[in-house]
Amino acid sequence: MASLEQLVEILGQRFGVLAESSTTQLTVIAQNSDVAIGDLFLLPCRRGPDRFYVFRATEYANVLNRTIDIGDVARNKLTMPDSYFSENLAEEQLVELRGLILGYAQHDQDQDVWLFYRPRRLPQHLTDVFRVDPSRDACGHVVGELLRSQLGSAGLHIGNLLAGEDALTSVPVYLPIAALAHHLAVFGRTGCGKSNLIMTLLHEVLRHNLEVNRGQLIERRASIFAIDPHDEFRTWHSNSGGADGIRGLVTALSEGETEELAAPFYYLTSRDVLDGPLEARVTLSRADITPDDVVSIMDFSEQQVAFARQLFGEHGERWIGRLFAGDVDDPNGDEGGAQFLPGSIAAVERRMGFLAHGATRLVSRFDPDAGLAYQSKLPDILSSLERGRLLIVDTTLLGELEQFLLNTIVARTLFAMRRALRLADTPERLRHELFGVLGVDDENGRIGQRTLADSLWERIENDDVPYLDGTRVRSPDELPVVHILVEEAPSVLNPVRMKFGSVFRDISRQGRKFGIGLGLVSQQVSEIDRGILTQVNTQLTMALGNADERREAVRVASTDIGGFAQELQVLSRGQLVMSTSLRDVALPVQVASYEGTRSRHGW
Amino acid sequence: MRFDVHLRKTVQRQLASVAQSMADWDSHQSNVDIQKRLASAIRPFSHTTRWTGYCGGVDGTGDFPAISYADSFVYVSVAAGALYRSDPVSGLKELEQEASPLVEFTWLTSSHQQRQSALLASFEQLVGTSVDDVLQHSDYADLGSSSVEKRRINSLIIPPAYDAGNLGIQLRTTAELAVALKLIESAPKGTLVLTDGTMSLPLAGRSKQSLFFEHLRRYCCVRARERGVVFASLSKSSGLPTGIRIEDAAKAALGINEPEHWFVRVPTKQLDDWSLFPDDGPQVPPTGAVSYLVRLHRKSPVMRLDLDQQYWQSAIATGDVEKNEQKLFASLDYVSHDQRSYGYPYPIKAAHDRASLTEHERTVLRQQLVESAVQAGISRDAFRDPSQMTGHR
Repeated sequence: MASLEQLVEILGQRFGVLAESSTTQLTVIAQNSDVAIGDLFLLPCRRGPDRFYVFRATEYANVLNRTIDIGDVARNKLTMPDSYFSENLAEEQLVELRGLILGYAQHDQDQDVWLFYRPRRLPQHLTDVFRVDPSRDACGHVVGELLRSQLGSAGLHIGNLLAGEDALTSVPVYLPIAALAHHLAVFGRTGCGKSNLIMTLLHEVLRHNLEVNRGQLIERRASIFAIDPHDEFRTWHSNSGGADGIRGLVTALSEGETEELAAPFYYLTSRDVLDGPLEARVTLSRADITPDDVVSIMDFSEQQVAFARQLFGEHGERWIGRLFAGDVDDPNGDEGGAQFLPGSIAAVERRMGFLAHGATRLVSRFDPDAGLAYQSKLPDILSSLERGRLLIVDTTLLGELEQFLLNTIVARTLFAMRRALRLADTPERLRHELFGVLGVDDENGRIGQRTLADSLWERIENDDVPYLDGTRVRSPDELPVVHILVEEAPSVLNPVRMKFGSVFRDISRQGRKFGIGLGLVSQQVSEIDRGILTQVNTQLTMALGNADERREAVRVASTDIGGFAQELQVLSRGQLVMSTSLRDVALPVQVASYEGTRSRHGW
Repeated sequence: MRFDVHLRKTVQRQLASVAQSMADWDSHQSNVDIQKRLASAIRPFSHTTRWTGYCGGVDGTGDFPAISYADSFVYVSVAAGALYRSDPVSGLKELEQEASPLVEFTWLTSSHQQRQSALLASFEQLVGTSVDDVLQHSDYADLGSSSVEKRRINSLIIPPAYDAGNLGIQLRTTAELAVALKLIESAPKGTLVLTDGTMSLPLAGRSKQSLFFEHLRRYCCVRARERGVVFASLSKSSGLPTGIRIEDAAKAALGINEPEHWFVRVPTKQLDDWSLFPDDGPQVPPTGAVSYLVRLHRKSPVMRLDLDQQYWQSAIATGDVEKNEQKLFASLDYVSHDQRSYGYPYPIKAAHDRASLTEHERTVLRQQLVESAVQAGISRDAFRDPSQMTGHR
């Protein structure tokens, strides 16, 4: 491992000298040169063991050396005719940088490595300061060595460490695959590069699965269920001559890899006409929907919720059909119960109107007695997610409510399945628990979601859902990490929607232990339920124009990003601040362009 | 103790008395005839926005003494210079020089022999040539009597080690002139080399005693003449006697309020048959020099420019005197238009900025000196400073 002297030699010429320092801010006096907010600097120090402090400039000022106030000079320039500003060789025009210490790397003698620590110490007086020059790979290697534990070395390659306006091409930043189960949020205004970031994540998950499948990596696979309201992830920029999207990645897989990583589909669409292989028409059945699903995506009163739940308790998977058929006169059965006002019943019917036959492209009718069999892709979707797949769902032809409903149902059912798995120790017990979490209770005459339960159990028995290893019940830890992306997160995850409980709140609190994580994508931070935000362990914060949103983003970050607060306004496209509880410090990252990523990995 | 002296009646009476004496002296010195003569001698020069040439500035400073212990004192002298050429874009553009700022540590004790040896060694170290060479080649001794005596090293005054005032002046001025000499030796022909201060030779009238910097100052004049460089000293103070109201004279001469861009050569009995200074007053111009009073900008004070008399005689007073003077002050005006020191030559200001020591830097130098001495075997106790410990400083 390189010593302090060797690393200093690589860094080259001294850039400046530490002037004032406190635990909140450092001031560096440096030669007059072209610096940028966000530039990285290293301060080698020998107060205590050999250390390198990592300093990041958050503001700077032009100052003059040993002279009167620069304001006086400016006044002279303005008021004195024919005055000039003599050009000195050096040392007259300086810059004063102020910023924060990200932390320090300390050389561990025993392990002969540089270990990174949070900023609890200060460099000594008048320490030399070296600039990390993004144009010099050697500088990047020094940073990579010092920040190794913070950058990660495997997992999802988010981008490269940002130094000022430029990325250090030799310093990749990774998120561990486990971060997908610890919930992740992507915040950023329109046009800041969120879609490219999602594409990068999708690409990285597929690459990860490929490496696991090839035996190059011993780790769990990962799945992503991504709603794509603009239908851009499949073909990306291929229509305009750029890189192909997930379609290009999938079609580049070998036959065996396709079977293992993409079959039966990677792309679901609400369109009737399919363009290629491994694409399917997305359909749900009314039998897949519970009252809690619809309550999670639209406003209901307490009476309306109670009525819907009572109807589901009585009729189970046929409750929606009964509602639309007007068969709700005596929903209380023999047990009796609350009587509901006609107004409440009509209101529920009105709200559910988007699921009426002819009003939805997503949800099929379900009434076996009338010859309307169970038609749903939900069991296949869940089966795919449990085997490590990317699923892109084109929702361009779906309404917003349908889109939210699809997300909610997939998340809730998967969460229920994993809970059942956690509770079971034998195949019999697994079946019992699975039917239980889906509301099926034969002993008490509750129908629940029997058809869905039967369908899922059939897949478990056929090993399409890999819950059983012979007679052994697998632990959720052996299954892929599943990540459910929620686009336009405030629409579903706002505090009002949480009033009657929400599967997303449950997943945010408990999903981690079941290997299920949420991905919140939003332009607004302030509109998302705080209970959920506090459970998100990784924030990828891109440019935010609104001051309130920037404040919220700083507030909810897993690691302190206060030093980046002003920069959140001026981050360029594709630049973000990554804060995660899995690392000690927040890092600025330039997300690689998906075009570039494709050409680099190519498979 | 709280400072309340100024509140006492006896003190207030004394203040009033001193002020009255000052006013009486001022009116007593007032001389209408001199005012008229002065006004008629004042000449304007044009505001100069275009000039081609070179200008160097020099300044010196130090810590006198940096530390003292037992009977010993360590003095630190610092001097720096900067050379510029005119530039159409930035006005003045600095030229790289080989010489870095001079820093010299001088250790002096109560032993005369050690003191003389150490002081002369410091002079030689600063100038880069032997003291004897400077004494032999300077024209200082030729300006007065007993030139043979003055060219001997023994004529040089070596103050006691504790005489910080005299030693400080000698060391700082020597360091400053040493940098000026380096500029004179290396700058292109025609360069204007400016030092901060005057060309005074305090002991020029004495036959057997002299100060090393007097010899060095004149040596600079000799070398400047030989190399075709213009060597001058600029003092921020005119040093005029009270009673002479030069601003009024300038107003009368130029017919405008707050006049600027004017100069007047300080008259002498020898050249002009009249003088601004009383017979028992200061010698202005100094021996061997010609002095001018100049106003570069209405916001900056009247300053005094000293030139080597021999240079002046050959280059200014020959031919079209007024034109030569205009040319001289045009160059001075041009180099005084930097936004950081408008109305004062920036090269001197730049040199000053580089040579000046902040209090923090003085403290660091002192600490380094003490640490080095301790490492060399001197007890740290020797450097305990009761004044510093008690805040009695």
